[in-house]
Amino acid sequence: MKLPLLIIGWFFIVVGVAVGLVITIEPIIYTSTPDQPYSPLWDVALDPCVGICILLGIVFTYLRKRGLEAEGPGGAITWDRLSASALFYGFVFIGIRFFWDLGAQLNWDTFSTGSEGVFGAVWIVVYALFTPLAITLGLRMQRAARGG
Amino acid sequence: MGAANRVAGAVLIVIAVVVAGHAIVEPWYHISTPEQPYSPAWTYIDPLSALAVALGLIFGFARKRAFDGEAGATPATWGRLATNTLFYGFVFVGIIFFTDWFSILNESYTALNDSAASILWTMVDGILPLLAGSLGAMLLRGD
Repeated sequence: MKLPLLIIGWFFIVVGVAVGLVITIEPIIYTSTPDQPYSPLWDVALDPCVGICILLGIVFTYLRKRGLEAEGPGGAITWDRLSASALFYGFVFIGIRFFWDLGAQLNWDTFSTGSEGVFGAVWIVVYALFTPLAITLGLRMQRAARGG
Repeated sequence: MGAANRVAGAVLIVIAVVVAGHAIVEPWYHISTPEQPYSPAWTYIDPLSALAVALGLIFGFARKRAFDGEAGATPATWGRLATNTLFYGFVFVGIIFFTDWFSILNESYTALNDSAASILWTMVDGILPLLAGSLGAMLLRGD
């Protein structure tokens, strides 16, 4: 279990850092065209990786959360339990918004609930939340794989 | 480090007051035009916000590191919770702020349309003063 955990942890860290960097510097390095207002990097690489990370993140953080909840509701609020819950619900929240935005983007011709501005703002909020969640979970996995 | 903390704390509080104050009073004094829908004062305030984000990340991370030594199985303390909330809050707001700010500075980037940018600025100007003010007060108090 240790090597896969180490590799998946690295995947989370790399994707988290890449998303945080690209979303921040894209406006100063990319020149929009009418057909491609944002970098094609999002469609071909980053968004699929973000989708995979969110699904994996929900599974891993749920397992972690369940393990820590074994002591029941009467237990003390430990840091591990608090951070496991924050990560799990964080991934669930951005998962809902990410897949909603992705569905809206892929069905732009037929789905018109919400303005373009709302969709654009939701993308940025999702990426801004995804970056710390993915990096934190990745670092946790690294520590767990190394026995920490 | 104590003097640096106090200076950074004072700077953060001043920026928090400026950003929050200006966000509130702007609709009362600025008359929008198609070329200038928002006040030109933001041209000077945005670099201050960037400074607040940078200070927040540096000092927030330093504080977080001090708490990270505590074992995970111990009860969560208020100080650790507040420190983590502030640090990750600055990461979140920082990403949105720089995306929004850079998209204004580079007119050839049009992926972020005006209404999306407006929604995001509203969030940044609402959250940044809380984070900067709270961290600034903690640094000033020497917590």
